[in-house]
Amino acid sequence: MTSAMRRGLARCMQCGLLSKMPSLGKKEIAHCPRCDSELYLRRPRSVQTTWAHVIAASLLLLPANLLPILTVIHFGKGEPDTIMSGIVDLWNTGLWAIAAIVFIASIVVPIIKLMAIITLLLVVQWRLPLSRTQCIALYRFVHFIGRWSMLDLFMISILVTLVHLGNIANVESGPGATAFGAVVVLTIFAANSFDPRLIWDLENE
Amino acid sequence: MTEADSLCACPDCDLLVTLPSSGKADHHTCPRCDAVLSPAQRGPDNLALAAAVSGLILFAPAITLPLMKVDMLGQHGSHSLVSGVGRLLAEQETPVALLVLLCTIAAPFLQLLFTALTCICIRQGWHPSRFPQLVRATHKMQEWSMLEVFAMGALVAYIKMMDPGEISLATGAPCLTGLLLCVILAGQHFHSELAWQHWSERPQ
Repeated sequence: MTSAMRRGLARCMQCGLLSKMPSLGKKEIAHCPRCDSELYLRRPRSVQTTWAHVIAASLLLLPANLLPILTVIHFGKGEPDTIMSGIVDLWNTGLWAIAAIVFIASIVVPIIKLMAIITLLLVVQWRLPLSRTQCIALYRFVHFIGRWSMLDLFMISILVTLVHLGNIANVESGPGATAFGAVVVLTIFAANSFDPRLIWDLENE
Repeated sequence: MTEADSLCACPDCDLLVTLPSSGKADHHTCPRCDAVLSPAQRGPDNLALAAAVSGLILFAPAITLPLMKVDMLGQHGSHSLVSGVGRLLAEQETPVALLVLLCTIAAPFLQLLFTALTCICIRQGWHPSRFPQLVRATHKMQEWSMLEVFAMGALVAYIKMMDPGEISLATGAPCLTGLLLCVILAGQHFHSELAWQHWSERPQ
């Protein structure tokens, strides 16, 4: 089993064409002969970029969970809701399934995603003894699950518009929503900037 | 590129795999990591084109008509995708508004538009010089189009509001369901490999 890199072949990340990697000077960039995208053997600075996104996302996870994302005002009274208190409210009203969906989408998924990406980074950097197949399953899971954390933001957008009934009831979004949106976007970037081929390169060394 | 013709590198693990040149319609996966190497080709993307065009027709009603209505003590409220973004903008939540705009309006629209354009180019045998950018943009927009997540969010909001107010689905809901189906079909039946093959067969 040889990797394409060992034979000096590069797969274009855009169109999938396999082509010979030309020998390059320091500041030269190869281009795919078919679609003209930039051609690399491995995504440049993949580990560093992914770390940067992961760290930024982890830091933003704090305001996202501590600041209110939503304030529901009912007959002039209302308490700001953080993600967690919203879930607790849903649970207490007996909407267990919905509470579970929101909990999974907005708390479990972002945290698991960040931990999964950190694990992958550690495997590549410190050679943690994890099986390659487990790592690749983790990588695919991160890609598959990423977009579902957007659920809460969409729900906020629906609720603030729907419940805008003057004095009777009103829903307003809070600063936590911006932080939460940033977390979701940064984890998507982190997942995209990680090059899964780095995991398999360890095997060939 | 004679050497690379039958060779293929796995996108996930970079393993060099020799694909059998005969039986091109088969579905090939990587022997090491099980990634899809070449999905079974289902001929020209007619279904993708049909779905994209239908989606574009449904688009305007799906985003402007109200999805849900709420009645509470004689007061009415309604939500459509466009009004949701507008309300967030009015509340000074610009980043959130832009994100919702991108994921539920701009990306699905551009995905459908670019899919339709790419399919038309393939069908008509056109090779416009911007074709590579078009295929790349289609792929990018697929990634950011999150209507299915939005639909789930709408469902959650609907059930959440059933208790305190009289909430009902409005005319936009069936349109959005249709649009969602079109976006999913257009995404599933659009094969970028086919598009790239079409591009590499252009007259030099």
